Amino acid sequence: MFQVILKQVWRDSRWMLLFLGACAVVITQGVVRVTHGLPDNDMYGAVLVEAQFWGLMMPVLAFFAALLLAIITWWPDRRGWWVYALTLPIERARYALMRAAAGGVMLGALALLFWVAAIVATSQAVVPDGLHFYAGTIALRFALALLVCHALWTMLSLTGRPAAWAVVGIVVVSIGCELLGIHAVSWVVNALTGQWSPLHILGGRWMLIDA
Amino acid sequence: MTDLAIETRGLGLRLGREFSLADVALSVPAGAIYGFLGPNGSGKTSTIRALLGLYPGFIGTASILGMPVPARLPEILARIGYVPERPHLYRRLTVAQSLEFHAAFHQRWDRAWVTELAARFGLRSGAEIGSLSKGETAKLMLLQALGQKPDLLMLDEPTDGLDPVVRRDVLAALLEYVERSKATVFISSHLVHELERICDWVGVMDQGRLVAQVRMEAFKHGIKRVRVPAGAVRPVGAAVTVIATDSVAGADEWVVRDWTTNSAAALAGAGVTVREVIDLDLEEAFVELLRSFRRSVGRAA
Amino acid sequence: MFERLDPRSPTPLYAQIAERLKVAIASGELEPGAALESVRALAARIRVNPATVVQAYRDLEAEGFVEMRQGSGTYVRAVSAERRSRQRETQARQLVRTMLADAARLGVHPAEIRAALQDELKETR
Repeated sequence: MFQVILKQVWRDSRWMLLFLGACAVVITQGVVRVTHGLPDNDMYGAVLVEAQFWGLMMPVLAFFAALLLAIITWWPDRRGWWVYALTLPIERARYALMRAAAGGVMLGALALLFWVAAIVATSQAVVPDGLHFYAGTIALRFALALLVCHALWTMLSLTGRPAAWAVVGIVVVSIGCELLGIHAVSWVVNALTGQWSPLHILGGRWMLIDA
Repeated sequence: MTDLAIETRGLGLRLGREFSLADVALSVPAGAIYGFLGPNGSGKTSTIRALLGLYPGFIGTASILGMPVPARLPEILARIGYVPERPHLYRRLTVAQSLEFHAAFHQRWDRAWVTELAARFGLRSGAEIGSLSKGETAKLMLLQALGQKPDLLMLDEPTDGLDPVVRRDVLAALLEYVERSKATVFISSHLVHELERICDWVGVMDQGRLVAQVRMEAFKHGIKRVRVPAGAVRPVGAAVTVIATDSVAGADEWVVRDWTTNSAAALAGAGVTVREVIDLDLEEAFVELLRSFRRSVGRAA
Repeated sequence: MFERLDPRSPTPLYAQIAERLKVAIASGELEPGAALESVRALAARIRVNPATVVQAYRDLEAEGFVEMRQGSGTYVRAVSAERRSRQRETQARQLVRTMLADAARLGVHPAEIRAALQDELKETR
């Protein structure tokens, strides 16, 4: 049973996974590029600031990757008003778990891609003195962030309101506020990644390269 | 009571403010082909969906194949082949992928027969479901329902909007399976003619209520149009039940139910000379029954 | 053989099916030993409830026209020439009865019917 669901999710999400994997490559390469052509070791500060910019994209990638996968995973059932899924001879909770797990496997593959991309990127570069690469750690953190976001989007998908609506709402309101000169994006992000939020994992500094 | 494939008592459903079903008491004998008739919006689909556990709450009790709904739904669903009114299959799967998906959930899946039937239906296994015609989709849904070798088929308007050729193929495959497996069929339709040939039981729904539930023969032959002299007085008591009256050119016509071979004599005994007894076909009987039901509802309101 | 079965007729479908088969047997169209279509195939082909076909075959068996062999099928029995002619006679009588009932409804006089019938018979001869 799990196998056929997995196959379905794979067929629906493979191109998206490829795209997200490419994003991971771009981000990790971006981080490492900042070390190129450094004149001397006094520039740590500048390097770290630029690395921090690239690092910011990692939680964004995790957040949207989990969202897109949730949409792709649940779309077939949502489109048919759940009739097919609900008339399968299986406990509903078990079915939901299997479909969520299938989405999770795809995200696992993405985490793996990210890890490989980080290793490849760091192996090409020369570490400036006093700095270190944290490929394994950052990949692990990326995987955990995916897991948290995946759980969140899965729950939202199952409450009957499409996960997409929540995001569209947040994005529209935020952009609207930015246009009006109210800096809502950073406020929303801060609120969502507060210390008590499960999304706290997305906050803070994401450094592939650090002291 | 285990020889009832479907049994409901006091089944009611409230969607929004109104009752969309009230006090439905179905008794579908095992092995029957049960025609579930009623105009559009009469509650046929709601009944079927409630039985399949697609509505979270309903009033009353329901059991399918001797098991209570919704407590034992997964077990029940394993033995029901369901074809809904609107296509419910995953549109982005191909025919072959959809069959594979369905087979994974059904232990009794009959691969050899499905392959044969798919060929007979002319279903291209590589075609994406979203690209299939209405007729092909209907065939595929029936194919999946039959392939799981169900003990009960629940078909909600399975041939609505299909061309005659497809309709024939679909009904032929269904009847073939029924003959082989002795499965029960619960088939809803507003196309009365279609059910006339194949059903041995009929349930009639209107306005969320079960108006009648009888053997097909009794339904077809129990409702008659009887021509009597103009101004004849309706008999009081049990002779026959007059459900409608009309007057036509110098005579009155009564629509009666529960007509038997003795009824003419009984009417004569009550002083009414029967001039002619006219047979009604299923559709006319159905229409008369609904008319009398609606009148009685109108009076009560 | 089963064209124009009429589910609306007061004659039940199984009786109509049995009737058609009797005619075919009486006329020799179905010869002794010939196999009838299986219940499954016939029900699917003419789209009636399989139970209806079973009932038709049972009635034919009870009347001695066919024989149902367990697990094998239903076969036409040898029917005496006398019986076959009697069956044809019944058939003829039924046709005439239907015609007369129609005539009565249309107000056609029996004498007119007789004349028309003789005329028609002359032509077909």
